[in-house]
Amino acid sequence: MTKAKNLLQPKFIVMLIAFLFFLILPTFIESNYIITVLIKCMAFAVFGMAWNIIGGYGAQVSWASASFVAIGAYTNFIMQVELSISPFLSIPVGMLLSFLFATLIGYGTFRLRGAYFAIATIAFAEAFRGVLQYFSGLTRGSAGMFITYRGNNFLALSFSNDRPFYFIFLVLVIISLIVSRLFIKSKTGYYLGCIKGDEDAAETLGIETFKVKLKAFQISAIMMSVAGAFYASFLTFISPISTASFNLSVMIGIVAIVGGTATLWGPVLGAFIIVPLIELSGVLLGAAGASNVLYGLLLVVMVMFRPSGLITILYALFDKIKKIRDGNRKVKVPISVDEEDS
Amino acid sequence: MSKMLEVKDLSINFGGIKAVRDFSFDIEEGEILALIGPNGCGKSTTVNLISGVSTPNTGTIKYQGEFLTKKHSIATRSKMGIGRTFQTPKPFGFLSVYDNVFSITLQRHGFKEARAKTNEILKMFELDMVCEEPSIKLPIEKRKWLDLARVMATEPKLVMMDECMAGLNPNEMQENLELVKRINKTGVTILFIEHVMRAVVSVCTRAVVMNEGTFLFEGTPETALKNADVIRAYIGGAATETPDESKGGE
Ligand SMILES: Nc1ncnc2c1ncn2[C@@H]1O[C@H](COP(=O)(O)OP(=O)(O)O)[C@@H](O)[C@H]1O
Ligand SMILES: [Mg+2]
Repeated sequence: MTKAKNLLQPKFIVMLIAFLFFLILPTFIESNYIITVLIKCMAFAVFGMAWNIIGGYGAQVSWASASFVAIGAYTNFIMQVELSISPFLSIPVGMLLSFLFATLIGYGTFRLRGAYFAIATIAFAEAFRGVLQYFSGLTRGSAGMFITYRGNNFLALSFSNDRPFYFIFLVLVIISLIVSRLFIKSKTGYYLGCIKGDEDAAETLGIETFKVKLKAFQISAIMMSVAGAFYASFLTFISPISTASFNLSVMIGIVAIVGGTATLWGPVLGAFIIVPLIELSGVLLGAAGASNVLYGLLLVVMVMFRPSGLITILYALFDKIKKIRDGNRKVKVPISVDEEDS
Repeated sequence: MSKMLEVKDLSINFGGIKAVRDFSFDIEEGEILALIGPNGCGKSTTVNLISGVSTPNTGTIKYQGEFLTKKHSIATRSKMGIGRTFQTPKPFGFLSVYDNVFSITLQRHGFKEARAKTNEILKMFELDMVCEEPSIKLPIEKRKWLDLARVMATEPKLVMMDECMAGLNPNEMQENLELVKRINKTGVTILFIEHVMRAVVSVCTRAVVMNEGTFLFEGTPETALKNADVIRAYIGGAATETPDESKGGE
């Protein structure tokens, strides 16, 4: 297929339309509340994509997502409050810290098979939340941290309204899509696919499963902390409960699972379904515990009806459109069948 | 000819069961050696020990003049050129047949070369027509070929084929034997593991027979078939049976 024809694929057209749509969308929305919900959707799309790198493509389920969000968030706030350092300079610090912590968790567990990794992430997340509460000199403990408004200042990520964050997160979503895509088409991405398929076979075929899983987890953690830093600036208030809780980790996992694990667009779709649902349930039911019931229900429904995620419904639809567009022409040509038969 | 592999006094216990005990044998460079023996005699365990899946309690494995130790991980051994298939094939789940092979060729090549190499291998194993299928949907004989195709993608020097004939019909077996010969002609040394001896006569010049975890006999497949100890080990029946899994008894 030629490049030009690739650009005419329904997927690409839909992508372009979606991008233009989201670019001009805020001009039609007056309510700041709706804008903040859209920002949250995009933030969770990025969180979900980060989770997907190891949890989806690697089938190594992490429940420490919130810890890495918190690493990004707290690094940002602490360096800004204590040292007046711009988030753009503290983000690399957060990336380094999350890289180190991911290495620590992965190092002890990726040589083992089974649920060890998942369990270790839960243990780590709980310990990390404890640490945030304990070092209250820096983190203000359970009370949480505020960032005060310092006038319109892009370098400080301080704005008089939330709209700039809308565009910042739109860019983050696009970057995350590109990073995810590059990752799955990289050698590490291919190796991770083999590990997900059959870890024993992968190992005997030369794939160093430990290193590959570790690398994927490090990338996932780094993405998570970057998104966490921006998310914190948007929230202007962070606490161990809001940024480091098990609940947040679960929500991030649910976003990817409902949308479709191991798919590029699954977490994006998932976020735009889950976040509004949570907002709605908060408004309608009031209680904070309502979200947990909702997660449970969603999981049951997903497992029963579409375990591969809602995005696969769209993918199937695109395939159909493609087939109709290509008419009777053979769509899939097997590789090099035209040469002599041996 | 120099030695490809030298196994000496290899032993391993599984909770009291001596699956392999004091087992020794050699493989010459470039040959097709048959490793045969009745079910449960320790053939797969031997393959696991050589490929690094299990660690021996005692004994040594020397590959191309180098002793293999715990330092040589499973993946390292693959990179050194030791390949193996599994008695029960292990396709990479929902990954396409193409990606099953492509992912492995990527280890030694850049993307462009890997693509060419993958197409070549898929063609050799007649998997090119099903290259877009999820590997988990392949029938058993294609799974076996995919297993072998992936091993070839590692560009091995030694390939251990663990019962690659089991479950195939006579036609597929014949094709398989041709394939084994062709792989061998490209310079790959082969350890051909079977529990039914008839299958190996046409491809191997030398056979090692195992029984109850240890060495029993070595010679040409023809002499092995006639050897009294070997016949006794097989309880006089299965060794000379047609290569059919389902009727192994007298
Ligand atoms: N992981 C294991 N744990 C316990 N017993 C094992 C294990 N692997 C093999 N065995 C035992 O070792 C013996 C040899 O098995 P195996 O090598 O699979 O035989 P073969 O491949 O020749 O049919 C059998 O008795 C089997 O039950
Ligand atoms: Mg066996």
